[in-house]
Amino acid sequence: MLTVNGTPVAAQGTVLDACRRAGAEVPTLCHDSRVLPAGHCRMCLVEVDGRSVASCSTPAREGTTVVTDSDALRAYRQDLGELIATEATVQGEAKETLEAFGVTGTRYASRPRARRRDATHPYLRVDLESCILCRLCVRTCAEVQGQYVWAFANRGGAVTPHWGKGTFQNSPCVSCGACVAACPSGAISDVQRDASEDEVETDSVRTTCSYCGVGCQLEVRTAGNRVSHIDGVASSPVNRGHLCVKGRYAHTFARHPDRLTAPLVRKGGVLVEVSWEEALEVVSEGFRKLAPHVAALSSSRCTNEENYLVSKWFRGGFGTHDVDSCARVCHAPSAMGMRLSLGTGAATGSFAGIEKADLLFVCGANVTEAHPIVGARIKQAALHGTPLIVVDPRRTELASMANEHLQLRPGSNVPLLNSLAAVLVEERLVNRFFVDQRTEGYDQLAEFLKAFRPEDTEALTGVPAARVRRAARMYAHAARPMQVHGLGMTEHYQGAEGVRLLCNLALLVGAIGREGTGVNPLRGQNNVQGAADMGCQPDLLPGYQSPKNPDVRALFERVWDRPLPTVDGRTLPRMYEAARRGELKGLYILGENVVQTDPDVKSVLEALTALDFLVVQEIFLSETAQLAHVVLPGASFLEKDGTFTNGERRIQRVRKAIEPPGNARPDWRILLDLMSASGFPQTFRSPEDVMAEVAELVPAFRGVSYPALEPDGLQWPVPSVGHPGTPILHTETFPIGRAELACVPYLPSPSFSEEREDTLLLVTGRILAHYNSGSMTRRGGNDTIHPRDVLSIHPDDAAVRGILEGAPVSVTSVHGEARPVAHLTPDVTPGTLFLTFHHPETHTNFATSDVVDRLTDCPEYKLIPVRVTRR
Amino acid sequence: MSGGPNLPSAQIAGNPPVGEHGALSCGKALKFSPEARKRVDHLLTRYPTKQAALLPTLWEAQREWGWISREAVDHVAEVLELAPAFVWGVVTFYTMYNRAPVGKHLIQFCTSISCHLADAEGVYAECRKRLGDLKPGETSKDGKFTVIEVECLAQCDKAPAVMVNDDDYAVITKDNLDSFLGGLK
Repeated sequence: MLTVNGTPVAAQGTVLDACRRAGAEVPTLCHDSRVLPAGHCRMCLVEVDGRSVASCSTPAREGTTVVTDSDALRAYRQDLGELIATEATVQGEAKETLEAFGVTGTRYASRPRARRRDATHPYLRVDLESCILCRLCVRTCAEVQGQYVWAFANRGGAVTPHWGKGTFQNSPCVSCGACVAACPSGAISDVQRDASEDEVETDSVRTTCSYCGVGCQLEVRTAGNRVSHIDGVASSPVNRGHLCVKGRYAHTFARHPDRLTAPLVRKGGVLVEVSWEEALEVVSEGFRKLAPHVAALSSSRCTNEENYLVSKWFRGGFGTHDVDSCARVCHAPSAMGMRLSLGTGAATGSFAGIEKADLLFVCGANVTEAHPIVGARIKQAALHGTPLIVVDPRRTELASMANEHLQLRPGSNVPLLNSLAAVLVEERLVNRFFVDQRTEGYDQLAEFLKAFRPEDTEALTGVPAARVRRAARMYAHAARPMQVHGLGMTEHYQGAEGVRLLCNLALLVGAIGREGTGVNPLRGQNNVQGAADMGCQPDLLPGYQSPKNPDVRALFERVWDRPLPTVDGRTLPRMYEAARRGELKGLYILGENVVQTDPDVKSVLEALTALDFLVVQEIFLSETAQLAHVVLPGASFLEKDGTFTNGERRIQRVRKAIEPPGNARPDWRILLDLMSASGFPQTFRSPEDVMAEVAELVPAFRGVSYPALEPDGLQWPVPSVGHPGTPILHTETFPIGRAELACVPYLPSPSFSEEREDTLLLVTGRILAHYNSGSMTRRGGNDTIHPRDVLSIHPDDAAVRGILEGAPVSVTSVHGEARPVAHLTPDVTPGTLFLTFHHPETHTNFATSDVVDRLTDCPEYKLIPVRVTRR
Repeated sequence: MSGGPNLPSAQIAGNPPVGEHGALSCGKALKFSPEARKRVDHLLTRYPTKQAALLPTLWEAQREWGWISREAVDHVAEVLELAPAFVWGVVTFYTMYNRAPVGKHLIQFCTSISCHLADAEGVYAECRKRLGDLKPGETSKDGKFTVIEVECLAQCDKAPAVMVNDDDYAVITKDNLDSFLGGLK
């Protein structure tokens, strides 16, 4: 214990922590709990046993007496504040802090430093006239994001933060906004916030970001009925106050004039605005006439409750299991592969494991761009010395920091991962205890892997055997090796099987069921986990329960009061096929722009245009919505309530911050209206009621209710009311008893048959500034940061084709042509290409193929033989 | 307080005014010569991380090009896998990295206490006058001489002490100034 102004408090952390716990006010200008204490500003000076010390950087000690206010301290702070005011025009928080402690002017002659200003960046504005040299910009940039954009130049009186030469927009800044959020003086400011300064902020709502599977917690500040700006929630265990360029800034789409504000029905070939009553009638009549030859494609962008309603509506209301979601085109293989190997198709650990792990194994994931906050955490871990192994055909940012970068040829995941396992077996690096106790199939696997020595697969994978051996040894020698993987694993012909091989690796060394270990798919969209949990996949009901199980059937039929269909459902690619054949006649698409995001667009278009009835529920008139017979205006995540489930199985609240524009409505409400109109009325009055029914039907959600989700959500399984959630799965046993080690033979993808002498292998994916079809991120400042899709091509491949940097090129496969511009970079190996799909005019997915994962029908976006030519 | 305008390299004419950031450009991209690159690669074997080798690598750059230009910062940053802004921060923290071109002979007059008592300031002023009324830090028109003032050179017994590039010169007075300058080719 120690005393602060006479109040006893525990001697934990720093003296500043102790003061704050004791409720004593101590002014700080350079303090942020996310970075190491620096003691720069000296405003936090307090007296400890009569001696003045900087409280932020002094450990609290037993038995000491702390005084936070005295004549001497007041005089000191006054003088310090005045000295700061001689050098800077202090603004913002710092100004308030100084004023609160009585500093309003300065007795000293002003001695302004030379200044630098910059207003080139779409989101950040710099005016160093206000800079008080707290160094939080430099420290957060280094210690939170790990980007090192900000540095200090000069020394002594001339010291100043700077970002190197040129404009700020041309700096290596990734626009995470951490420095803006940290800057107390207004020297770095938020353009959006500045723009709404005149308006009074009316409210602040905590919600969950809708941009990726990380599930960052947002504090959405609103002014009137619009978003003023967004901050991160510092207390959230997911993002700890940090955000990325999408989560923090890309919200302006919500008030974009392109938003759909009224229902549209096609009349005489054109979409015309109609009333909600008419639209609901047309949709319910349309589907009722065609049932059961109708299907639903639900959305991983929407809430759990909405996904549950879609699943219930089509299965119960129209008697079809043809319900799928966009998990099909991303992580269905992870769910399937992990369910087969481990019994549960979800991440086995938590993001908190990143800091606990003593080795990070990143496979087929460009984490710093696609999952920026987890990426920043991995980057920090690596900067602090955690060894990093990256398996990726591209030299991604993490790959460039890795101890081992296994730069494999696209499509050779299976031989490479088998080789890693083969080394574990051959070099006796296997955890026999774990393998004997908790797995089966080891002897068979050991025998099978003899054919996969790294020396044997070298030619296939392009990775030198010695490096494979080194990586395998590193993985085996780590006490807590943690895997994360992305779509580079799943979007392949052997996607699900590849994921099983990741499970093999973790099982062989016993790296599962403990903190800082495990197999952790980084879910692509904000609620891919939830869409699958809620039964938006044809073969499984909510909670991964099979409709073939008579007990499950009975339960659902009782609660839903409808018979369940007996015919098996179709996956999305099979739906397209059925539509082309005329067997499927009606399709309901919730918040998906399949015409831009699904592979082999030509055949998708054929399928959609063959339908008798297509309904699209959207926030913009997307390329897909333009084909619809009815378009229903839904709400963005900022405009509705519900829950999302992130990549670590954490169910988190989504809360309405603003009203939907015009006559647009929250999607859950539209769904309830549609269910009523089509003769399957529901008693739910809110998303909370829907979650109550989910809790009744799904054992893993039994203890989930909105009050229980306060404040930071719960990680399923939550098997009973009051249960604290499950951060780590499989600690004692697997749901299938023993985990299954899989022998996966290598079956080359059929795509390889399209390879010719002059083809290169195209890999598609995402970049930092944009999100999938870009309908949200293209409508705002992110488009200034990244205005078009670029094709990464190795300079050698470009040279032989006469392609220069920035040249328009044509990327042609047997399926079609994409039209990006070229970017020459050695980050891809010769023979490999990388292309994003965020801009519709690029037509990226016209070139992608119809090859799908053998087990789950997930398309092979990561391996397309193409020709590249100038155009 | 030291720093700011008292920095020797801040005296060098053409150096950006303190507070204006980003190094001066030399007008063309730079790359270490094979020999210098070999020395840098050898340096890297002696440090636990690339970042740790930043100071000696900057010395190599200064040896190679005479001063640290924007392009030198970029190249050093690339070699050591650091952000150019960070490298520039380090360059500007120290006084002995030249942030603008200097003459063939960088004449550094010590004006600390012992040399001061031996009239170092007088000799310093006289020296600049004889080289064509150079301002502190200015380079002579023929590009041969740059004259600056520095802190103690640890040759108090030989005051007034002078260092030319990396070589020490003892007891430079107004009387022997001509022969001293004459000896610099």
